Amino acid sequence: MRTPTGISEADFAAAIAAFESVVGKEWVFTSDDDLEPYRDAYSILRDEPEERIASAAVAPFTSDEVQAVVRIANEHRIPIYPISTGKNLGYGGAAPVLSGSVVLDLKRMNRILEIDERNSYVLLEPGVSYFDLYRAIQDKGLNLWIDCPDPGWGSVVGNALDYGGGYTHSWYRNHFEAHCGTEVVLANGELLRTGMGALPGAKTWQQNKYGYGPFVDGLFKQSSLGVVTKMGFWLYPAPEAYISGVVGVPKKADINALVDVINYLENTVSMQGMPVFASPFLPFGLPGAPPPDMPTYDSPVAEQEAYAAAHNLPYWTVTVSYYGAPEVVKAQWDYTKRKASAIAGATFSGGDVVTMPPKREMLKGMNRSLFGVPSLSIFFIGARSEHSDPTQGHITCSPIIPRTGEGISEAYDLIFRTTKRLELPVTILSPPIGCWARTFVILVMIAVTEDPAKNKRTRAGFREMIRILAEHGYGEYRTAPAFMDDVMETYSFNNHALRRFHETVKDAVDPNGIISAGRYGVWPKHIREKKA
Amino acid sequence: MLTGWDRRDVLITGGAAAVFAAAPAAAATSLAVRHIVVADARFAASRAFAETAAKSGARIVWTEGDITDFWRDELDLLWRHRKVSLSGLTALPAFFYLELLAMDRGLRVVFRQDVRQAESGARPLIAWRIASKPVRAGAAA
Repeated sequence: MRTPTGISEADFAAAIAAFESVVGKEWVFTSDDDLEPYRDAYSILRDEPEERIASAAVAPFTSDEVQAVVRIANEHRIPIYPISTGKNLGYGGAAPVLSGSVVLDLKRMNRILEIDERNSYVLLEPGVSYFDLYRAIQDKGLNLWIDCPDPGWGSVVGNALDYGGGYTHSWYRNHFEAHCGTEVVLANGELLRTGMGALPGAKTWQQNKYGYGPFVDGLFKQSSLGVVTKMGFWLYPAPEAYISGVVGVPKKADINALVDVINYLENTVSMQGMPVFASPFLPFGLPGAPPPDMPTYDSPVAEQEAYAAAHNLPYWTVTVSYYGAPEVVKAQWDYTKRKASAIAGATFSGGDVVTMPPKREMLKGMNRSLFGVPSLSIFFIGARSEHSDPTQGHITCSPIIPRTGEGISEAYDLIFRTTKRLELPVTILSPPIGCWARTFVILVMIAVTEDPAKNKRTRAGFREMIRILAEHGYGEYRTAPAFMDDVMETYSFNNHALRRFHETVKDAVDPNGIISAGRYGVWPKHIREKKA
Repeated sequence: MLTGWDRRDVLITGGAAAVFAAAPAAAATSLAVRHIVVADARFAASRAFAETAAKSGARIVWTEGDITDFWRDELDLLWRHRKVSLSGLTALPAFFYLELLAMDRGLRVVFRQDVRQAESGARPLIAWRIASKPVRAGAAA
């Protein structure tokens, strides 16, 4: 039996027996075969001594069982690592950050506790996937949409806590911001409810986020301070219609004005859907070989623009989308055209009003997430796709960059130069993604292979890239466990005041350091002291 | 609320690996009734595999690579109640996510083999079988 570091076999066996007495023997897993699902399928440490491997897994069924398991872990000083469904591939999956931790698998806690159509919210447990929630809404015939990431097999709670994003209305596609009310089991086993949930019998837990006093929900985002056992989310009342249109501009420098127009539209709530910027000249694009005569990212701009003009291609496009009443979305598209017409040579296409709900036939070949329909289609462009060279998986460098055209240009130049110089095996470099208001995120997907020597080189290069991006003011919003310390190291203002604050809170709330040690670069005191 | 996530099961698929060690079409001949076969209509080898399996009574799920509808409308619900085994001759993505989804429900890949396609330059397909894993030694009844 594998044991957590510093825990004797006898003590671990006692803890395992205690876990079994709470959840039942069949829900405690210790064999290698049973623990296989708790390995990170995309791990860049896979099959190396440093791979993050669980010593056991425990799957409770209720919040009461979670409380009991946490109390046992505290008593025996067993590190535990809660997961919801463990599907955040590229960011760790179901594997713990600290090897030897016991994974607290919350998949069995998959109850949808309440869906309120009139006030458009849901209260659910961490084991509920986007597929589950979508199906429940469809089965009940409710006039509600969800906002889901791609792929949609993950947990609604887990994705929000990891700061995931989606595609529909801007009020819903930031999944953490769309939450309202949380229930958390703290390290001492106590149950905490946030916001209005702190009021016994509250009638507005899922309607008012803030309740009374300091707002603490953020402490449980990307956190090691508790085990979230319930979470409320605001849902999107199903819109009547949808429009998608494409705005094109002819010159490279036009991106500056184009982003400003889109920002204005979005920040005045004149456009709700996620804007998707693209250019045929961005480096490492999506699968599919470009024409051989097409200039590349580092070709002279004049050549690129001449090629675009000769082939009737915009240099940049942005796909915009609108959700709402037919007459409203049509007016919003017209307004977009009026605003963007200020850019010389702007072109417009699309703009047909599509009545919702989307017909099943229409969804074929489309990004279903645009309509709150979960999907697994993303794997066609991911690490295990049919198009790229075979890889074990990918790690993703995910810098947050300013929502300006200048920000796009500067960030892509830096990423292009840096990945080339460091010889990082980039599989996909996303366009600037506007899933959150006010910033873009760029996803630089880098191949994980089955060759440990290559992976070692990639890890070194990835660490260097994190450092270089930070030097230029770009911070990662999320990363794989192998790099969580590296990213936290970059958030170093005032001698790491933020990390020291996290550690102070961690030591106070979880003095034995049992929950999610090392998650997002925050370690409990006893491990910090060993590392020092 | 779900009740079917029972990860303890018996091995019901003995000999599956041997079945698939042969050419895909021949392998499909031996498939048991009530077995589900996932096929990818875009590939001739997969079509042939599925047609042969159908003659043996297997139910064929046709995809064009994306198994979303199969998962959402059928398999997710089916696996909550019964550990139905699956086989397939598909491209990598369908195999990969079915493998991970299967592990969550107490099933495992019991056979996997790359199958070269006739078309030059085409990436290999994967012949695979997913089935219930053996009951754990020493586990309580």
